[in-house]
Amino acid sequence: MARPRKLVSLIERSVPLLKRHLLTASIEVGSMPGDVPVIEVSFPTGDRLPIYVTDADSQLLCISYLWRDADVKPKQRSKLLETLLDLNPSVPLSAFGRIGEHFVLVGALSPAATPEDMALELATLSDNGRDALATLADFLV
Amino acid sequence: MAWWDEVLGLLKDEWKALGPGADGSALEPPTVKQAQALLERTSRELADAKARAEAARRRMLRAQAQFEALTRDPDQHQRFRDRLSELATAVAHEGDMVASFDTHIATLTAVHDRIDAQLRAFNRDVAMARSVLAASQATQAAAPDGTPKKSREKAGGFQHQRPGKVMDQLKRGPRGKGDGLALHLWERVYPPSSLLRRGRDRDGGALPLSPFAPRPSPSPVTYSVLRMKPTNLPTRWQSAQPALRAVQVAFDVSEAVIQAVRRAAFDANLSNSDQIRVVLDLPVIRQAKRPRLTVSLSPEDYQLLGKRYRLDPADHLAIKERVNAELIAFAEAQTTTHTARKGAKR
Repeated sequence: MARPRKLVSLIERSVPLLKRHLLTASIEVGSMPGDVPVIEVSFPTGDRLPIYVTDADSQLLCISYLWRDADVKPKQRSKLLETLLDLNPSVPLSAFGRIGEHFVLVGALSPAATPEDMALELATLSDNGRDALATLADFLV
Repeated sequence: MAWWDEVLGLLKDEWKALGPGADGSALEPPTVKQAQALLERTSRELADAKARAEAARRRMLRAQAQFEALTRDPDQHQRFRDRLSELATAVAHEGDMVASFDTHIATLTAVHDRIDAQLRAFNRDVAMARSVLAASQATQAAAPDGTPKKSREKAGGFQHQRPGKVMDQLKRGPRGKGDGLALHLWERVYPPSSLLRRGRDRDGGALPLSPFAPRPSPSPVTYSVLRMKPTNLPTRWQSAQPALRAVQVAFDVSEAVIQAVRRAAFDANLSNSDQIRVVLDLPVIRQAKRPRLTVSLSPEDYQLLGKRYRLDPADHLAIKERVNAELIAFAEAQTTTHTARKGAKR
């Protein structure tokens, strides 16, 4: 299969740019075994969330896991959902979403994305993830 | 929602300050543009300076190498060689300058990167403000009578045009045969807003008016994508499902690994990274030590603890004593619950 290699090399070529964007040298790229390629981009130092990148044929998905259903204050739940929808248009390049019981932040790229595109996407997603956790902490247990 | 409120507040202020035209078009205030331009120019200039410094450094190194080569050439007149070696010494002296150039370039690079990061953060903020603005404009364009205030001004829409008496009658429902028919027709022309929002009237006919009305789509995608049968989703959206599942598995595996490593590391009195080295059979430099409990308390912590124990925050010794007592009480409580639980199991 050519595609997984393509995704890995795209991300590896974007890492130097990403390091410059985020002003950090500690970025690790790991590949998860499986039929569908999943690459984990993590930041060993600092408070940034790991990002999972995968190839969904029609798009490249970049996903950060924010919190679980169980982490949400039950009484604040509908308010939180509304807030996330309200925020969606203004959060740069990323959108809030859900996978199973997890709230996620997700950004999508064209399959023809360049390393520059990928670096900008990952940097923005990482910033957004950090901001989202800080901003929405009031809704969480 | 500090973030959101702040963005909205700033936007409102800017909006007011600008006094946007009737078409609702407005640009960022000049100061924002200036800041952006300044950051961009600084970034460009730094890149230029870096390139120039780099070029100068390369030229200097090349000259040095050429001089050295010439000096070493044996087939030369003695005086020429003396002169050359003098020059070479001078150039070697300049070598110090080359070194200073190196540090200079490194500094420039760092400054450049920082400015770039600032520019990126700034552009991100501006983009965010812009998209809020664009979104609100789009909403206004799609729903010209969106805000109640405006509707009142324009007196647009059914509820504002009809006197309250008719509204009351409509609410009470049909009294006679004629009324009922009238109501029926009435509602077909002016559906109550709740129905309008759903985009359908009572007879199930689509209404053309509401911007909020969903497009007549046969696929309700309101609940979790993962739990949905693939057939419920539009075909173009189905390709994301295996990818989402794979990401979910990857995340779960990572979490399971982290938990397992942390548990094992705790049991073995190792740090997480040392535990990973143990798993991989790599040499572990630090031997497992008797675990010591330390907590570094900041001046703020002492303030808080002083309040908690009603002690002078400056009296670190007394506060530490109370901290130790509290930890011992905590440990005792833990042991009792553990033994109690064990006893219950038997």
